Amino acid sequence: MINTIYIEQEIVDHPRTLEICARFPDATLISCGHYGEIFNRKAQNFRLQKENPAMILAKKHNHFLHQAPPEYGIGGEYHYYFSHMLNCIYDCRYCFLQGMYRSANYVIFVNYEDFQAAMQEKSKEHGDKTVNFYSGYDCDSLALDPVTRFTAEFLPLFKTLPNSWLELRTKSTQIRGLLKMEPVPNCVVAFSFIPAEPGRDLEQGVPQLERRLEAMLKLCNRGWKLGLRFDPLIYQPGFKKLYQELFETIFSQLPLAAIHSVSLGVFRMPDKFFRNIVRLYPDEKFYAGPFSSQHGMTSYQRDLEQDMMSVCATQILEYIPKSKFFPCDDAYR
Amino acid sequence: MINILIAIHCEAKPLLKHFGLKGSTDHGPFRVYESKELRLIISGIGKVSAAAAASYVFARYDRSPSSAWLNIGTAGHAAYPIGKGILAHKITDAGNGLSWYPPLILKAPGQTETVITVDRPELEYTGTAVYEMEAAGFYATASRFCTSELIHCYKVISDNRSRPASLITKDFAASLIAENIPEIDALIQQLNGLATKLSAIVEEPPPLKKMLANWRFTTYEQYRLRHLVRRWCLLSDGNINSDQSFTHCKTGKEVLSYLQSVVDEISLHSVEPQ
Ligand code: SF4
Repeated sequence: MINTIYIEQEIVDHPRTLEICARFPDATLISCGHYGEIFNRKAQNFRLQKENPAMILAKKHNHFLHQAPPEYGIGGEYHYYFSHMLNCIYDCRYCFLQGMYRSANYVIFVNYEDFQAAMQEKSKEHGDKTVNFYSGYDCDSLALDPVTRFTAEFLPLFKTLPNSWLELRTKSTQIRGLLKMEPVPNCVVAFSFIPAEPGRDLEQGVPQLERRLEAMLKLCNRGWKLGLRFDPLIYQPGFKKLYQELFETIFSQLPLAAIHSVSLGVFRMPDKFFRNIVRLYPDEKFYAGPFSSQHGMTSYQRDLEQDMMSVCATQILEYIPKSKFFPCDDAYR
Repeated sequence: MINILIAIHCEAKPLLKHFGLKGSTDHGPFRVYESKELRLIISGIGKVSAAAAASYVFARYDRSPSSAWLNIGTAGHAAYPIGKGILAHKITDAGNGLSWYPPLILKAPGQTETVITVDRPELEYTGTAVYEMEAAGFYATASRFCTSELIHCYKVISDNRSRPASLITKDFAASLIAENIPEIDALIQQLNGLATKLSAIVEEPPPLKKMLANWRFTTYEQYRLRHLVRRWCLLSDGNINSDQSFTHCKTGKEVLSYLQSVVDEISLHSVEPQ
């Protein structure tokens, strides 16, 4: 699966580097100075690289936590996201990562201990206020968990930070690590969904909806708190019916008590990323859709966006109380 | 198209024969050989010559962003056996310490290795890298013209600690390249596949050329037109008739405004992923 691993000289002997490399005994190991020499170079084609991405093991030196956009919230007072990994093993056509990065290679920052120190500090700084840490912004939190051992390394920390929450956001079914440990009460395992029909074409490599639901049920039976993320909402003719069916399928199977939060947001991304993606995929029908740009962000045309949000919000609130609902725009609560 | 850059003629000879390349009638500063799918240029020795030759090909022959570029040549290594073929996975310019990392999305036909470009022949062969004299100049220049997945360097070991570079003759260099033609062929085929894929992606939507010829558009309008025609073609699954649709339009502006209304309408009704 991984044929090439680039390793920053500085972390060549880091135990996590050695552990990850040991999982790919046939991979070619190539040393580099700084991961940016490979990852940030101009003259790269994300689409071509996606056919056979390499892995880059690196050290993050600063900016371990970033303030999360306000619409990202699921309750609580303070919100931070962090990225122990850049890029994703799946290939969702609507994913903003392909417009943000030049390279499709997977970067893993192996110095988890520094991320954790930053979280401890932030948690302490905010006293008894609730602090949310979101992990699935620049990657899928669980998809590569068997390799990164992300959950095994980060979740124990949250047992010691009772005022803080960790959100794992995923489309994967890699839950073996979570099932092996005791549920962490201040962790939400959040799964993202779009209806199966556009999903089949737009989410390459993502496990089928049924398999993800099975994974959610296993987690909930074990006592983990679950999140549902209907973000991004994807338009296609007949979206009302498609989403109605999706909500029915999901909410009829998951016990309400296990659902910690449901969030909702339409497809949106900075204009620059959108333009980059259209350049990469000029033959992709999805990007020919009814989009418009406002204030530097591309999303569906305003009327359509509002229609999608209000239709889906109404449908969701038939299944859950308002207290668990977090649309990206408060107007739809 | 694949542009192959080789330092000296004797190394190129087996490839000229194998690929049936004919000398270009254009008498420029470099000797150039061509077929329908390949172009080979003799750059001369050293990274500056390699950079100059790559620039010459780009400026004189091939500005396509979907052409591939390949540097082939001989190189030294401490211990690798003579005749072994190597694809560069890292290229370092010994002069300034800069490195490039050719993305290995293709399947390397043999081993891959770090290649260090030196200004004078390396006789000590320190470390584990392969030493040669052109790759860094070639790579730094070619990566200004096209995406790095399509730029590679392939070297055949011609000297090592037991058989120094002083023993290399022209015929010997030619024979080393000739022995590795199967690997070079495999590499070229894969590069061709990637180049074809990329050129299909960057292709202009078919009606665009005609529309640009039929009406006048400012530079900004051309950009908008390209964008709208692309959406129009995708949303209509190619079932469009650009001759009939715009007969009522007298100016480029009218074309754009009509096309915008058509695309707005169909985008709401026909968006279904491919
Ligand atoms: S799963 Fe998420 S991060 Fe991965 S490609 Fe899809 S949208 Fe992007």
